[in-house]
Amino acid sequence: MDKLGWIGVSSLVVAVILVGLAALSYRTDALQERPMLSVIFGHKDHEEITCTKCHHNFIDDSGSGTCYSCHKYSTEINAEIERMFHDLCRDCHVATRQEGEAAGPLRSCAQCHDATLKSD
Amino acid sequence: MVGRKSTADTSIGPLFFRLCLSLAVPLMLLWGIVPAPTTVFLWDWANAIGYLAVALLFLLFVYRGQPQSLPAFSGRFFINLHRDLGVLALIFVGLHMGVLLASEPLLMEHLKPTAPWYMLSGLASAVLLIMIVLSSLPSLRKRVWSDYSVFRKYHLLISVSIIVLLLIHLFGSQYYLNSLWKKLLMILMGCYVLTRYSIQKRRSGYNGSNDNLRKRGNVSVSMLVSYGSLWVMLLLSFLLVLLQQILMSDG
Repeated sequence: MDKLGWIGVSSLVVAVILVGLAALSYRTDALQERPMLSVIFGHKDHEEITCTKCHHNFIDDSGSGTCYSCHKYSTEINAEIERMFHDLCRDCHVATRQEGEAAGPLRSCAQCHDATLKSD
Repeated sequence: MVGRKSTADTSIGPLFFRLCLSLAVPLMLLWGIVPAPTTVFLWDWANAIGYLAVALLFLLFVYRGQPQSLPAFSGRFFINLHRDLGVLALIFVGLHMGVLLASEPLLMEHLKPTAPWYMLSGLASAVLLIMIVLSSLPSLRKRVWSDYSVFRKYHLLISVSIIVLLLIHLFGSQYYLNSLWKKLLMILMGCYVLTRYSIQKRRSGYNGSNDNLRKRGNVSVSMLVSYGSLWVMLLLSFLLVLLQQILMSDG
């Protein structure tokens, strides 16, 4: 590769690293500050699931109040809220469906994030 | 000499069949054997289209614009084939995103900087794909890279980056890679296409000995092969997903 080529590649690598670092910083702030999408949860549909599967703080004393008290308002963990909640709900739905039983939404966003419906 | 001429096989049937088979393999593995539970039809079909795009991107490393032993067309045919497969990959990535967004408008959230890493990885690979297709247009390529060999190095660098980002996207979203052997197979396929670039020179079967016998193979022939096989596969994916919806529906 000629001298101009190396300068081009080096500039590209440096530019990618700088843009990546800036994006990372912006992303962390945005994750902590973004508003939550509305979400519904049907308690009646989940009567067979033990309560502490979701309300873990009843047994591990890890927090109090609503889920959002920690998962949304604590800057230590709120960047992970989407992954944690999605993993909890979707993984259980997928596993249940793979066992041949009916389960809630697998991937459909609007079936959970519907502002027109209310949780029971 | 006359005898050698008769062996210059320019039938495109075997190439068409190979393309269809290569594109069908990921679909059959993901939807035909222990498939993930069905979601809504459009979601499943959009992802089948996405996997067709993945297979196409892998194929671009196999049909990378270098002459191959068969069909006995000139190098221009294989360059056209590479170009057509690349454009089709871009169209299919666009279809994958478009159908998913039409099915689930809330997925726009996964195109923002706050999206999960695996979605940003998929988005980055799509952006790189647009870049690589545009930068390969002769008018733009000649303006940016006067030296063709430098263009090829950048082209390869971006291509490998696309595959790596794509694998992160597939393994992060993972819904259809729902067993260990499917994951291992995808890794193997990824490694194979990435290493094939270096080994293909030795194994292409093309030795240049019958260059003067090779037919030119006009643009419409490569388009017939690439677009034809893709339309067949698009139809197959539609039918496969539809069949699975019928067989696995709760009702």
